[in-house]
Amino acid sequence: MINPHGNILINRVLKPEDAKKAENKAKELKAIKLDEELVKDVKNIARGVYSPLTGFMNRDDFNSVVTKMTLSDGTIWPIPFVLDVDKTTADQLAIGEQIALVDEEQKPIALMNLRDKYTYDKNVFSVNVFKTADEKHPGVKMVKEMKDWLLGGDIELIDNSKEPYNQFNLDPQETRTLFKERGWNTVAGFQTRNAPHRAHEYLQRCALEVCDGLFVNPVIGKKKSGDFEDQVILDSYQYLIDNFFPKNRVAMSILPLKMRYAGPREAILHAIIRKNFGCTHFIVGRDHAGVGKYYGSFDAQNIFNDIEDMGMTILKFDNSFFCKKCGHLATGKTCPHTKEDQIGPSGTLIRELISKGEIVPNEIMRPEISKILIDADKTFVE
Amino acid sequence: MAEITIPNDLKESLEKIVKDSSEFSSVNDYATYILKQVADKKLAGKKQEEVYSKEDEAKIKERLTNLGYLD
Repeated sequence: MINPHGNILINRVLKPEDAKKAENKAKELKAIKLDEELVKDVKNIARGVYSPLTGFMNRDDFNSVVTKMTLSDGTIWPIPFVLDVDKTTADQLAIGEQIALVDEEQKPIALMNLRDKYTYDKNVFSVNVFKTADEKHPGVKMVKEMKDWLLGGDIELIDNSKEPYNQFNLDPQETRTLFKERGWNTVAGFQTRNAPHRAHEYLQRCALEVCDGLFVNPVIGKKKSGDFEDQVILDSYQYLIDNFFPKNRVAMSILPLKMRYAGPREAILHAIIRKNFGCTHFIVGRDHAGVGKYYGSFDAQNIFNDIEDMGMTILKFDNSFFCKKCGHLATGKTCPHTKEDQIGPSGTLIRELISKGEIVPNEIMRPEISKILIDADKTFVE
Repeated sequence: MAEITIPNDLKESLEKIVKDSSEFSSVNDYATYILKQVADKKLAGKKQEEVYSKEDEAKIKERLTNLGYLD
């Protein structure tokens, strides 16, 4: 089994009896309210998804991550995980103090031991992490909207609830146990935010030819209009796994996570997360975690050449398509024919057809998957 | 602090690496870094048992079975 990133799988989930005590204590502490995305980050930190992080970053780690893409101890880490507050709140908190992290309904989520509070340069953050200061970039926009002070410190999770999708929400220790029980020595991680089409399936099958298992890990989180609803992604993948892959060769579990659209740096983060889940391989396609034209098509693959070996194999794929002349799915690496012969998986076409209740061409999407999407109560985010 | 003896040819190799590095100022620094990496990796299994117990593992298997991931 591959070691977690940083060599130890973090577990900062309080046992039920301790969580109860902490929940009572939280009522007496100063509280910081977290939005839905920060709640996800707190739970991910506590469950070891972001190992070796044990909390939100202090100043040294933040600066090192932004400028050098490593934690201050040299461990590769590409994207800062931070808790932002306004100056008034920061002034009211003392280093060494324990604070309560609550959700938007004031329910205690975790306790945090405050170790650091600091200001930061938003432009340096954006330019280094997103490679742009353009405020049209969603990540840059996110940074611009962040408050001006950051808090650093370890967390202890009180609320370990996993709804929605409890049945598909496995921690890294759970996936590692699963892979071990299934006898998988090599596991390919596949990230997605969409329902499966043929081109996705081609990459998954290629990976399964060289690995014992495939871990389908859909990112569940903040969506934009036109994205697939989480439920249809899970339903369509469950159908695909149950009917078109050998039993016990594929497992699916969700990853509640906000997309930053940081392209290359985010590809490294996604690989680290799957390493923590127990994956030995990670599939990276063209323009992974990209948006618009901010990154080169293969930047998210090439960045792995520039960093220290993480102990994982990155499976790099070009765009896949159905070739009418080859008669099957292929990529530019395996198909010699021209674009006229190649039918790529157009997201726009898929959305248009499904919205009209029409089956997507078989070369692009299995008809059974089209049907699941068409018959769903709600297929797309409005 | 403890002292470790290494062969001269190894020391020369490490000196070449340090000379071209902006991260390490001495053979001592670099050797300490390398040895720490190796030790952390070897000890990871033992440390992990302190974080997740056998009891935790049993509960995890039960949850995986109840959810249908394991038969």
